[in-house]
Amino acid sequence: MGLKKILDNMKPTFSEGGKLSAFGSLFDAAETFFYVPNETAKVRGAHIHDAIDSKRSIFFVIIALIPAILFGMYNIGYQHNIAVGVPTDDICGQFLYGLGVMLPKIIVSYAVGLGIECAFAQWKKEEVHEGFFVTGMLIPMIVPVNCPLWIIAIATAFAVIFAKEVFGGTGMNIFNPALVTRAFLFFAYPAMMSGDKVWVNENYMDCINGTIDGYSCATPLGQLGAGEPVTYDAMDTIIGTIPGSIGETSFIAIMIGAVILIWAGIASWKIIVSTFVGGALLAYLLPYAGAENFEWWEQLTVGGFAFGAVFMATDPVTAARTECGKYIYGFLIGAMAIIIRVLNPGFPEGMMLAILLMNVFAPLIDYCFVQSNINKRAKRAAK
Amino acid sequence: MSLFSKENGEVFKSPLNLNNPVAVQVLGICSALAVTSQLKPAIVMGLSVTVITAFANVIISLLRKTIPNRIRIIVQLVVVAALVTIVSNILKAYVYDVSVQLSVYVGLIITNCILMGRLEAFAMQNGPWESFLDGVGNGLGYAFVLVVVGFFRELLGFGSILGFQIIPDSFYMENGGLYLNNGMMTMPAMALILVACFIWAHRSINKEK
Amino acid sequence: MAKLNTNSNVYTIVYASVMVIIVAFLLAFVASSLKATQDANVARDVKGQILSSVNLRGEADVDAKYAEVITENADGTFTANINGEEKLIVPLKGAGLWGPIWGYISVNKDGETVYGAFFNHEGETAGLGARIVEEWFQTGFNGKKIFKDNEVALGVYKAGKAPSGLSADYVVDAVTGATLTSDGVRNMIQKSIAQYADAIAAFKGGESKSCCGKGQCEMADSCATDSCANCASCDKANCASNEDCASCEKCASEKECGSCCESDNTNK
Repeated sequence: MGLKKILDNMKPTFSEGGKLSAFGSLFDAAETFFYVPNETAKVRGAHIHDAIDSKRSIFFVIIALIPAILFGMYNIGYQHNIAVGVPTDDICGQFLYGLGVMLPKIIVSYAVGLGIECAFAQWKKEEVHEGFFVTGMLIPMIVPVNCPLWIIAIATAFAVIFAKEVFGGTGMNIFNPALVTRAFLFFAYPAMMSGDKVWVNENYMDCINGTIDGYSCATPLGQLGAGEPVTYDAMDTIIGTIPGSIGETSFIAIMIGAVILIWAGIASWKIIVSTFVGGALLAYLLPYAGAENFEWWEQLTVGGFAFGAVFMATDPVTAARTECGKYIYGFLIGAMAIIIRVLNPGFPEGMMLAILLMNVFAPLIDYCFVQSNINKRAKRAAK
Repeated sequence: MSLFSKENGEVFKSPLNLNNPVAVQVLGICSALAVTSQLKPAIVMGLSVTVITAFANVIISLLRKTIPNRIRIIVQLVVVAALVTIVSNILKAYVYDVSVQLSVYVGLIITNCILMGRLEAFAMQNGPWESFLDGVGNGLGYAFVLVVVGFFRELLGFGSILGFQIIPDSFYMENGGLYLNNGMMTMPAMALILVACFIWAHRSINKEK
Repeated sequence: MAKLNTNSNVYTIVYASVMVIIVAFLLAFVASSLKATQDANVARDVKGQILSSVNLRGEADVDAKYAEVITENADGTFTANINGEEKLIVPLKGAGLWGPIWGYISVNKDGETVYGAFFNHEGETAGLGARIVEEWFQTGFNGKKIFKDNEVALGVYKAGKAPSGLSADYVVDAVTGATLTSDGVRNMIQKSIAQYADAIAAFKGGESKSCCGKGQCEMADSCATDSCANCASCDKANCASNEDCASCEKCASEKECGSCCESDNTNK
């Protein structure tokens, strides 16, 4: 137990009044990272409803994200190789290329986000919360490959401060911080977030100039939005070998993550299922007029729909909490996403806006169900 | 009472800081969002509101003993509406490009809560000189917030200040640099966040008061 | 003197009436005395936009320059005189993504080549569609061709997305990421110019008496009938390419082609 001893010895230095008390929150974060804290909730007043604390549940989310991350890295290299006109079977090389592109984004996102979280925690004399571990991993996964690092840094800072800290930090936020990051990018730097040239790393001019036959750098949704025929078949969209935000392309990898999350009881299957039901229903009712080579159910496999449904909509802080409310919440997210995609010419993708919108309405949904329960019971009691 | 007595100084100074109409009373937010995407319309709007508040205050203060109580709000509105129409006409005649940018928001000064608030709360009870100071102070307090917000929105959203390019062209991505203007700064939503930041900073500085 | 009862009905009504009359007179005076200046401002704004379309941007004295350069035509177009050369300015109106877009485009005397263009919009997306007001986009039209086979072929296209067979002379690069606004600009140009096609044809045929002018052959007396017949076929794509030129006997080389009939006339 050498480590434990070292930590215990260091503790007084970081405690209130110690020499390094300014970094107390950082020390606390490191200590609880290795060991379950020895202070437990008091017997009275606290209502523990789960065996695992937020730190452990957050690592399950990270584990569930791993398939999508790994596939995203491979896909970066794969798309890059096609774009420069030398498709290879070198999976390892493509993966390493993608790793090289992805890693700086992850580092920037974590460094900026955790830096701000620590600063706020220290300022307010609170512990550092773990919530950002998931957010910091989601951010690099929902941006286009070509997004410059400084822009990611600004957007992360914006989201952590204005979507999270001003509301009181982890667990108090109204909006999903990772989606706020993306929304900020989307509105502040639209040229970096949409169009044809942001989805493939470097040398994108090759595919834009048409030097490679039959290859477009546009995403399937981009092509639909522009009224062009979709050049990817359904299998591509399910496996994920299409241009898109880094983590969102592979339906299979996301579904593996979904299974892990549902099995571990962290994400609500009700939200995931009802989101897909809502999306499927609307996609069936509102088909693209004259879109070639595109089935209605592919709406669910392209773009950020699956990723949003599994990893964003299920965020326990911003989702509806009542069990019945979760069905409504998920259904409306799915429906809204497809409505935005199909009916609004300005936005080829609608998942981000749909989830953010429903984040706003989640408390209202909860309120309605809680009230109706209260009324029911009041009636029963009155009898 | 002398013209520059301590009380009168207070009447003028307090809305600039501790009783700022935007930062403390959170009035006039609508126009603060709409006209601050660039610095020039923000300045013009701030000055217009200052002029209108000051003169409306003076006029109402002069009339305050004659105004029939039952229609006093209507009287105030008519005075404000007349002043706003005059200012709007003058802007259209002499600074046309700014008046195009301000568009309907000049007309909407009529509905600016700061104005009605000052008329009802101050000018109806005080003499013309105090009312004038109060109007100028509140107008300038409003203008100050607009200018701060407009400064940041134009700098970050367009890379310029008052139309002069501040960020060199070679920094921009299309010219081989790394920088991009922040498009969100040109949208009203960002003005709301900047006003919030202003209030945040203002409260942090004046915590104990 | 007894103190006035400011709460009486009579007082209230009289007060209100007097106040309204005073204010009405005041406002009427201000509005009428400033009206001339205001109208001049509105007119000057439009004039500035028109001047921009002939590449005279940011003129210090818009009114003077406008009076010097532009003459208004009865059909809604404008004629500009730039250093002795006449340009026809055609107004454009169309729909962008979120609201109306408009502009002016000026055409050279050949009725074919764009001299300059200006666009403006009401509320396109900042950083994307809103960039059509920027000079680099507008100057991208300079020197482009308009008509191909008597149709307006000039258009804004995403790089690599122009219809195949359309030469680069007809294609202007779209604003990156602003597909829908760019499509709007293309539709606006094609529809509005088509409306004024006759005006452009007349402008072209009018003074130069070139028998190459579309539909002008029979009317231009100075043209010999037989050479006209040849030229007419040559004119199809305004002799843009060598193939078309080959069918025109008088045009030995690509260079001469554009003015084959004029040189023909002078030779005679």
